[in-house]
Amino acid sequence: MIWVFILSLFFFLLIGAPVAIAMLSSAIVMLVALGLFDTGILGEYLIKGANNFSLMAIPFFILTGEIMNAGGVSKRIVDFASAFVGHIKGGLGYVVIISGVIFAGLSGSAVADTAALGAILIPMMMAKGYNKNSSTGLVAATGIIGTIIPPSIPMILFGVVGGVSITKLFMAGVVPGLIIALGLIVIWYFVSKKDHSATLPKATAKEKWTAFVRAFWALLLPVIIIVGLRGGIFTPTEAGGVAAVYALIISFFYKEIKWKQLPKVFVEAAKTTGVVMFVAATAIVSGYAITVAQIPKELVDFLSGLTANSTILLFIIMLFLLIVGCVMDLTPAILIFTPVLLPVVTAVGIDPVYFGLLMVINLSIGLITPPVGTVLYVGCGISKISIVDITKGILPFLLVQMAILFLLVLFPDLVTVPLSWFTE
Amino acid sequence: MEKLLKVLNGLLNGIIVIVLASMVALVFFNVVLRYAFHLSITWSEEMARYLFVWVIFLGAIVASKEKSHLGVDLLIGSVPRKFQKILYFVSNSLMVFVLILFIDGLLKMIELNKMISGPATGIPEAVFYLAGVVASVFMIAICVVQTIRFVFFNQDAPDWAKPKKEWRETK
Repeated sequence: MIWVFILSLFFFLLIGAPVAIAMLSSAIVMLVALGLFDTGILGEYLIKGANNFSLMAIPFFILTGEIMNAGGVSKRIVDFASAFVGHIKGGLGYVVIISGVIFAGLSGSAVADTAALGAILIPMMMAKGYNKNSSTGLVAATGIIGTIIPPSIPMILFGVVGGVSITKLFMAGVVPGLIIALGLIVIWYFVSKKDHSATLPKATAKEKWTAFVRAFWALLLPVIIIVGLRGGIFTPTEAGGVAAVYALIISFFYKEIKWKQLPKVFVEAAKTTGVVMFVAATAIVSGYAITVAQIPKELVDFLSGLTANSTILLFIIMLFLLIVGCVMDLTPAILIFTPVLLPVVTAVGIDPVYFGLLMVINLSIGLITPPVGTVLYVGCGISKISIVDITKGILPFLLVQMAILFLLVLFPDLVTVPLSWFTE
Repeated sequence: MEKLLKVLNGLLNGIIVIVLASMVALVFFNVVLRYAFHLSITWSEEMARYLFVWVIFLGAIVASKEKSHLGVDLLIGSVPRKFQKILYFVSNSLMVFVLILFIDGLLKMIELNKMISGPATGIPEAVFYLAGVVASVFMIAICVVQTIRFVFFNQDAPDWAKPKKEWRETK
């Protein structure tokens, strides 16, 4: 049955059907093959997939990101980072990384973060004589921290489909996200050495203070989200609602958004929600088909014959997902493979939160691997360079991110120990 | 015709703004009431879920209109125009077929659940399923129009059918 699933899904994807339709079609094929097909199942499970309070966090965090960008809040964060590290050699690169980490704490989407970072920082870096390919590569590589540091849309999807605590997944992402940022800083130090780039003038203590004050309310939001979730003050969905209202209030407070802009912001957020959630809802249908066809059991039997060692198993799965990430977008990959792989890893005693984090990091890296890399295309679009050029520029950052991923596979303590600080 | 489409579009956007804004407000005020006044509105979560299902399906209509649904264009983006048209026709026919099955299933569920209402709000469950019906009907219409325009008149080309450079810039 597993072959029916894989072959039909890839057939439908390859002829160019939208992912949601391809998933529904392959679910229909499986259910027909099992003799269980009824259109009522489609209607019931699609709506069941959409009618979910936890998933409601997704439109809220998308909306928060849209408001932050429309309201000039992103610019204030970049100015804040520039005041502190702009004068160092290669300083704008560090500004990218620091702002990227803060953006990651405000929004849950790598694409949105990359677009926001790139729109502000790439023109600045070009003006100061930085290498175009490596600057764009750095922005794209930093953008994917957006889905690793909470909030994170793929983590919400993984949590709902896999029945894993979203709050725990969020908390698990904090430290690995920072480790990745650290890795990027180290690589950027070596990459930017070769550039003949100009630095920004050193900010005085007074200017630093002003930049901090100007960004203060925006910087507070990631803190509110993490503290609120850790303290059990609100659920991830409520955190999203609070974040959206908070973003709206500070944008008006900063006088950087007008009432006139709001309808467009809301419709854009609804469109993105429609795209993500339509796939998510169809994934519930195919998840149902996968379960009744007992595909996870088939896979467990196959893999347990291959190896009994959980680290080796995880290693194989990670390699497989990296390949998947090259040809598939993050959202569909999470939705398709979570119901298939999660039972396999829990069968050998791997913690679902730990696995969820690795899966999200892995498939986020997939966003910057060609030929299909959504974040890569966002970077190309902003810098007007080709996919080959950006691939050259991003390679060192991509390699360090993969190295960190496998480090986390070899040393689970890097994830589980900080997680226990955040969740006792 | 042009005018009707414009009115429909404005209506769609207007409803989306109201629905999404109410959803945010419901969830936000529930948190505020809980901590500031130790109160909780029992119907808030359920109401928000009704609105959510509608946001998803209305958003899906907008995404269809703007051709932003996720898809893999690896093959279809690299074959000659003639095959592109054939693949586009086949995959869109599949989409229409699946959406018709979906509508059929939704109508069954509406019939089955016609006596059931949400326990806290009293809104019929059918309202959930209706969102799917509305979205599917509009998505089928949009899909048919887009297919005819591209396959027979070479208009309204999807992103992958544009020259590579232009494609990258619109992304």
